[in-house]
Amino acid sequence: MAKPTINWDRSMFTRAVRSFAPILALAILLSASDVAAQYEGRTYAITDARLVTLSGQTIETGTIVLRGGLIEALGAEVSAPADAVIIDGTGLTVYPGFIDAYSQAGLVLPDRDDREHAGNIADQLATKFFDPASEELGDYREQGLTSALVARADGVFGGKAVLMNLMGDNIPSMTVKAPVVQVMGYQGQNDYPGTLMAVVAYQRQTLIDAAYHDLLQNRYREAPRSMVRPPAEPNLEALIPVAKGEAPVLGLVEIENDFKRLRNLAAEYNLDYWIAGAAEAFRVSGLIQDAGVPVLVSLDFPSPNEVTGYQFDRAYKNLTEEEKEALDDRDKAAIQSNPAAVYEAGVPLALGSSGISNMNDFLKNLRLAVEAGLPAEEALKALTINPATIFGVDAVLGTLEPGKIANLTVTSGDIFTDEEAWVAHVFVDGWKDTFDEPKPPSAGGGGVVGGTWNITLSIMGESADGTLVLTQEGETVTGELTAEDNSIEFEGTYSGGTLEMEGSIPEMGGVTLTATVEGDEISGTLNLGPIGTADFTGTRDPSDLAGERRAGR
Amino acid sequence: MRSAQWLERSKVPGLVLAFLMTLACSGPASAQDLLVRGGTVITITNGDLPNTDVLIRDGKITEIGENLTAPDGVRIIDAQGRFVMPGILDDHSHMGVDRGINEGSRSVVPEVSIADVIRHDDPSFFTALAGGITTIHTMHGSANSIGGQNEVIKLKWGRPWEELVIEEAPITLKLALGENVRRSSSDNPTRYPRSRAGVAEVMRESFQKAQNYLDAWEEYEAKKAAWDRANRRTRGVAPLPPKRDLQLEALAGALNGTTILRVHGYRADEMAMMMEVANEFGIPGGVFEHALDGYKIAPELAANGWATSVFADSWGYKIEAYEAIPYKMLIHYENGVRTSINSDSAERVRRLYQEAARGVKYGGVPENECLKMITINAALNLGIEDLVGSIEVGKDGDIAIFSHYPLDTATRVEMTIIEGEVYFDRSEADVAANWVLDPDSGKETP
Repeated sequence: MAKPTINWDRSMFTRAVRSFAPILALAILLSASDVAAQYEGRTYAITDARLVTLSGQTIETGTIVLRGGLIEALGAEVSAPADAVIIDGTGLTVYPGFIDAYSQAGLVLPDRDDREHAGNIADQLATKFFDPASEELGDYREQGLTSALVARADGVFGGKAVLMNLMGDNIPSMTVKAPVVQVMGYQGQNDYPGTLMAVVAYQRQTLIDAAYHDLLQNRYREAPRSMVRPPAEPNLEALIPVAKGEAPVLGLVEIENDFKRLRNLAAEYNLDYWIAGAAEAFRVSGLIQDAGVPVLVSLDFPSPNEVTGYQFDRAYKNLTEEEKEALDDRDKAAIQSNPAAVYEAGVPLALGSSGISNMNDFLKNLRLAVEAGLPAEEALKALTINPATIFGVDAVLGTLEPGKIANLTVTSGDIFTDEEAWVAHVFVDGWKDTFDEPKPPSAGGGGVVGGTWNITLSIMGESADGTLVLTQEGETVTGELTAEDNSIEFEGTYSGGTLEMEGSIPEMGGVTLTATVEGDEISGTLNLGPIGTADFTGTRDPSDLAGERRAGR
Repeated sequence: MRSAQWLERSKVPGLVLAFLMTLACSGPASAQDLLVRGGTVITITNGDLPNTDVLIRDGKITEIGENLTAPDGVRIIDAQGRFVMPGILDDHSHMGVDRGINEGSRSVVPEVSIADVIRHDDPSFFTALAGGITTIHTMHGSANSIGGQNEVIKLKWGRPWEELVIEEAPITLKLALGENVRRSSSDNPTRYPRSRAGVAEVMRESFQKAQNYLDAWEEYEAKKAAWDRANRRTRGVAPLPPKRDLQLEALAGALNGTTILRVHGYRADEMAMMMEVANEFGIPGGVFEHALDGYKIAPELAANGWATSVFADSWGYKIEAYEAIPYKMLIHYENGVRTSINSDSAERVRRLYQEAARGVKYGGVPENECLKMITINAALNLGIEDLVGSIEVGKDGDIAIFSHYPLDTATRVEMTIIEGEVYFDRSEADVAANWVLDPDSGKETP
């Protein structure tokens, strides 16, 4: 087990800063903003803020001091040190930095066909393809996420998940703990195992192989003479603790039967496991309760037609439109209650973002989960102390306490219930990132989304160009998506910068399109039910009249 | 959903709330007790019994006779004027499988198993129930010389995965011969084998490896036993066991006769090859799937203990299917080759009784023998004849109630019962109303 590569020794840096304090003071007089920028991330005091510590009572009005990447002090009576950049926290709430407990943040994988076979890459850290400079990390931070358990979801034994801080210069300094846990998923590969059934067979045989590798190695250590030297197999070696039940494996599951596949395998091979993804946990709450293992629930909600049982409830029932709508509403409510269902099963709950294509959905879906029954204080724990404890880093993350890593999430308004609340700042290792208050939703006037958009769709590694023609009346939008000589008609709404539409494909069923619009750019997701989802991005067609009108305003 | 009043339409009230409440109590009644009263009972194994009742308790048939009384609270289904036959078995299907039926990456993959990937909410189950099907053998595809293990499930539509599985069913292993295995129409032309001779070689090599594997374990067990008995001071390190190999274990199951071979085969020469290979390794006769040219070697099939599972009358759809004839059911029957009729399709599965009727049309196979081909013969092919395939005391209460004699062109299934619970009731189902069936793909969409 490698040691966490937390850089504990920041004191030298801190001493250096202190010894230059007089020069600093002078410099502040000369050029306050420059110096503040220069030392940004090192010493801060957030004053007059509400401090939700999770280690004791919430401090309704207090100050928290960050220095050298750690929390130095906090409390009602704490005052800001002279050398601190002061942030007026009036009206702000400070939480322990949110942890994205199951994430692909910053992962930039080669195209599927160019990727290595990920049947067993257990010796590989997920950070092999982590890009510290990835701009998308800013989208995570804007949702209040300061660190993430980064795991590859495309493998069978897909490597070691790593807990990363989400702002920094390079992988070593951003790494909080590596590795945290081995990952095991159900993704078919380009070669064997290609199908789900072969993936399961491959899981079994690989666990057998790892245990046998252990036997051979032990044998060879005890009595090397007259024994053929066991081959070096780093990927099998990395799985030995999992195969022996001495370390957990993180099972990446989605549908009801995935949970059962995982449980059955764990029973057969005596595995210790955690569950991640878990979109249909609400369908197997008894199983989860019996398993009693941590569940890292993704806030990527599936659409109802992807959920097990959807067809059973609707096929051959001769339902009225009203009854269908009632069923859809029931299913949406169940999907959104998924985190609550895991909480009620009494197992450790953490929340993650895996699968969310538009990160703005993270806090939106968090609020939906709270609305659907997850107590807000449990949602907070599921983003902070719970994952910190599950990942074995509660000594340094998860609560606001002196000496812990200076990861903070600072919000304006109640981020768990109020959709107008927003993340004002995050601190990651004491470095600050600040966000503007989101612009109020536009009035839904014509021309904001209506018009022609040139888009690029990507599905399963393939991409295709198409057009999206939208007609808007107030918040009501109708449209047609055309790509590769196929077209789908949609109806829906546009409000607050978000487009939500539904359509259908003959003989396949319902499809949904969600997108966000910023100026002349659109990005979103097309959900094709059983086929999967396609992401798309696009821009307003230059010849589009609506675009010209906008430009001329 | 299926409160299932017989021939009484209890439409769900329009009120949404009431509708949701019925959903909350959805699923068949919990009790697996049922009395099917007064129908003509087609037992399959013991003749047709007019005006006979069948009593099912806890999912098993407990009594067959006239004027049986239903114990308190047991639901009575009036089947007067109707035909009560065992639930139909489709012993070659690919329904209810999640994310792929062919592990085509390699030609030998017996370690993979459909048992791991059952999709219990496949809507085609419902249409199959509407055709009186209660049990299917859902199989690995035929893209591999030695494909995967298959699974026998009951179509308990709406129930969770584990409740569908017939645990007692022996393991069956899919093998395949001919065009599909050679990938003659595949875009992956590099995979070995590419010839019929190559397929034979792959079979022999694979079974030989499995035999070597069994030998290695036997040798190890002997060494280990000797080591256990030996002097602790002088015996040295324990012998090293062979590594468990799930592929070879699956093949070893065929060698020791616990696993039933289910071999996709069209041409007589290829089936003859397969029987020869099996005989070389002492593998008992299995079942040839489709066996289009089986009629040419019917005496040889019987002599070697092989059964078949066939299409009633499909032919000419590819080169190796040119010489198939619909009289094969008759020829197999007359030569004592056990034969079942399968669908291999989520569409044809809805009317397997009509497929069986073709046995009467082509050559006049006796009617009850035709019905055996979709019931007890399929059960025998799967080694589950003690559980299903006929109406006998002690067997599962799996029943299809037909409006007319099952081979009558006008017949249709009125009700399908699995282990005493109603899973299809025509009086309640509105099959055509809001779902459209594509006859080509056999898929339905809302």
